[in-house]
Amino acid sequence: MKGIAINIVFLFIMGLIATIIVASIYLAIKNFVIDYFSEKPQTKKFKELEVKYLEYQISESFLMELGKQCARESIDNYACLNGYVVCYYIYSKHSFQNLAIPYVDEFSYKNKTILIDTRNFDNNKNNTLIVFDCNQKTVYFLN
Amino acid sequence: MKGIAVETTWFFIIILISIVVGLSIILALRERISQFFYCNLYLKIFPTQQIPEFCKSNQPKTERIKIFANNHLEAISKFAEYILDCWKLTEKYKVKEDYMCYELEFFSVPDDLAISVEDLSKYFKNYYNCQEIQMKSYNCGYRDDIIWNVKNDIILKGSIVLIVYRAEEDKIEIIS
Repeated sequence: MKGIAINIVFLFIMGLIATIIVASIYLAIKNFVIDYFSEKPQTKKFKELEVKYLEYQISESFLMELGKQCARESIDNYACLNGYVVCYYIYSKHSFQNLAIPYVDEFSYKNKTILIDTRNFDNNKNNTLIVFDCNQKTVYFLN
Repeated sequence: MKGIAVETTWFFIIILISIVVGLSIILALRERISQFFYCNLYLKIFPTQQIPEFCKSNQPKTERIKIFANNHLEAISKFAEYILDCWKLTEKYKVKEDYMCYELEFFSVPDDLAISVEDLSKYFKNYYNCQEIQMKSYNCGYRDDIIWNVKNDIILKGSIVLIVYRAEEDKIEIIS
């Protein structure tokens, strides 16, 4: 009786594992085929670099929020597979001298701690690139 | 002979049950499995510039809108409606993390456009009787649903305004 019960459990588990493996392979192949034959637009990546020209003086919060948005969108869309994502190029009529941007800040998104590193941000200039480094989980402001 | 037939029947029934259970698990977790195997592993091994559609988030996306308005009231009205829309959207999707709903550019608006937080509160008072969005600090309702974080406190022509839902505070932050 005990032997039969063990056989039943064994059979069940083997069936379950086999089904899951076969179905997973099927899904992976299906996704590959869909991706391979789908019509691809000329523009690549999940997000085009957004260029913003600002005529007025912007705030620290505005730049920091764009940095956070860059990280959020990159994580949400698996864009991080490419290593880093260049999200925004901001240039302004005014210099960024009035901006007291924090040296390093951090926030949490989807259980990940994301750093915002502005050490390379030169506020004497009037332009900056906002880049998300997926491996370091850090948003950089570069200019 | 009969014993073998019964055993075979049981064998098939158990295999059938395990397949049904296995398929149910796969179907229930299909999206996550696809994302795990394809979006995480496959694309890591064979990196591609193109992110497939099903690897993109299916949660609401930030919309970038250009505001066109012939006069001051129309500009405030459009602005306020996007704020209200963000408020409702985050409630509907039960958003648990900070989320940027809209990026508004006051593109084609009167040259002398100047929207203040008081203008916004007046709009919510006059058109919604402070029922939806409340701004207690400006005598509209009993809560402060809006955080006004705008440089020089005024939104001008050409301004880009971010409408962000702050999950922890359960408020909408206006950033410019």
